[in-house]
Amino acid sequence: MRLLTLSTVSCFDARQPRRPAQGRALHGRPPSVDGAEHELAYERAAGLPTLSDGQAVCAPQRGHTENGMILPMSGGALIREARRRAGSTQAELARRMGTSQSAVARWENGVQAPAHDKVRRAVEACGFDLGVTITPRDDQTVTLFDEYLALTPQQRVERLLATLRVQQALQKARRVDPAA
Amino acid sequence: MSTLPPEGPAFDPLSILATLEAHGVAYVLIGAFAATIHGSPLVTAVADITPARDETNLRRLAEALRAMGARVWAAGEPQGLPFDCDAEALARADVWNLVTDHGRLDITFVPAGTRGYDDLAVDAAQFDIAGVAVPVAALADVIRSKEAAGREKDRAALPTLRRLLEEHRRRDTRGDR
Repeated sequence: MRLLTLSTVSCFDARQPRRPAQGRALHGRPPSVDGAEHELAYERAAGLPTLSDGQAVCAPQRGHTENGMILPMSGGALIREARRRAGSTQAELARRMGTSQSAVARWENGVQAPAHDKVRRAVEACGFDLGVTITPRDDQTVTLFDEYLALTPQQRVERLLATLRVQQALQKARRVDPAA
Repeated sequence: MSTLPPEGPAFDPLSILATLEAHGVAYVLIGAFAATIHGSPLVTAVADITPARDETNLRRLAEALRAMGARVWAAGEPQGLPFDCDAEALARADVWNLVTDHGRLDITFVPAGTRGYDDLAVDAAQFDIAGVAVPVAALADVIRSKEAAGREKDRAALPTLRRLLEEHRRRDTRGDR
């Protein structure tokens, strides 16, 4: 059985269309809107207790934040992800779960939030296990995001290459002077 | 641990991608270098691509690889090992780890967690980088592939990439990206 992992730090914002970042869509296809909120995802967005606070993760009744934004990976997005990986249609998944295609569509499109058990069953019906992990946030790296996202894609590449040049110079220096 | 090979050609990804473009190769850039273009601060010295697998594209890909002097990359062989670079040979393997005159290039026809080029192209976006048109997989797809691959280096990168995606979405919501 393969494993699909849900992490509280992953993000598939259910109500946000998947759109290209600063680029041009290759196929001119309108962005798809997928997913519905997931309880574990909502827990952090809504400031609910987490395991890192020493408390059990609790599942809220609703998954919307105050501004309507839904964070991070939603149950519907997980279902869509599992179905996509399995190469199945909504109808095929619905048949395997003993539900209707329209129900699967509602979950995937964010019209209705699937319960955690439904998400697990759907993922299993696609041939995966659903793993849930909670990982510490790496705030040090995140502070770099402001800096990198302010750059153009070309500048990001130039920054990478500059970093590599520094690494390479350091490697050469170490080879010349192993004590360095 | 360094991302650089101890020897071998310097990583010049834009020359690799320009050569692919010049030969009309249909591909999507994936992996850590795709994430760089999306704003990832993680460092990589390998370009990963997923080409279309039809015969015409494989022929174009083979021509591009020959133009770049592509050899099979192997540990301990920083300059790579020669191979018969033609469409038929490329079709016989799912993954090619290569070193070119412009550095490392990995080709994966069906990255883990995806169904290959057609799947990734759906949400890919085209970026113009120094005059090179670069089709880049969506960050969500880069993450999807790394999640499915589950290698140690992929797992190490995932928290940062997920947070980056979260930041993208947050900025999209605010309309400042």
